Amino acid sequence: MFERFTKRARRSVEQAVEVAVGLRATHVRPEHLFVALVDDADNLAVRVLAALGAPPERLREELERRRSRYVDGLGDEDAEALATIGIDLHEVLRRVGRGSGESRKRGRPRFSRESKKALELSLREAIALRHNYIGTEHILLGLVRGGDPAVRDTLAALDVSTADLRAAVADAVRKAG
Amino acid sequence: MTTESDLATAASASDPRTGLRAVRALRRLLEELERTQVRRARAEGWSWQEIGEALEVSRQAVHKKYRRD
Repeated sequence: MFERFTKRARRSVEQAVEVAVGLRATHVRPEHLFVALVDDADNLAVRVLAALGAPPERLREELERRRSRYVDGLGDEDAEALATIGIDLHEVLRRVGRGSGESRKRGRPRFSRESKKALELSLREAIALRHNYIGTEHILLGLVRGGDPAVRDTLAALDVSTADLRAAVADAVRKAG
Repeated sequence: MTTESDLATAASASDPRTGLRAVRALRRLLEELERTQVRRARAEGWSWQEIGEALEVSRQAVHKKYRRD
């Protein structure tokens, strides 16, 4: 599958592993892929996001702010749903003291199921746009379509909708091409 | 932005949609807590057998689910 990735896209995927390592995460999660995309200055994904009013520094800030609140796969929506039955998610996580048990024993973090899914979806997004390669912009779309809460809520916080993003990517590629 | 308590009050817990979303979130939370605790137990040297007993599931079931963690 990686043979269709551009050099830059491949580098972002590799960089996501480093992001996960740096955070002592057990898995490379979609939010780590997102951070890697955002950290790579001036790729197409970053340019498209900036044009939609979500510059890298704001995205980084939002992701950072959310990091402590997100546990694998649990987001704001889940916290709200749990509150309806009297469970305070943040209190539960505080008591469990999540973090201390999170450090990896050994080895490189592996890609989480959601990250693999997002990368597969990036291929589908490229196909849907009739592009014969997978660039950082397709990874971005794959991440959005994958529905990871950290990614979704970060973009929602900056008022970037999926539809806008897809249109902006198609547009940007047309201009660049 | 709506706060959690606003939503909790606004959405009646008797509405199945709300209830089902809570169940889904609870399932995610359960999975997350289980993974965290199994990891901790392993880090402290527990055997799969001991973890299985604590969770009242078979040793094989725990091992299969978490061996790659």
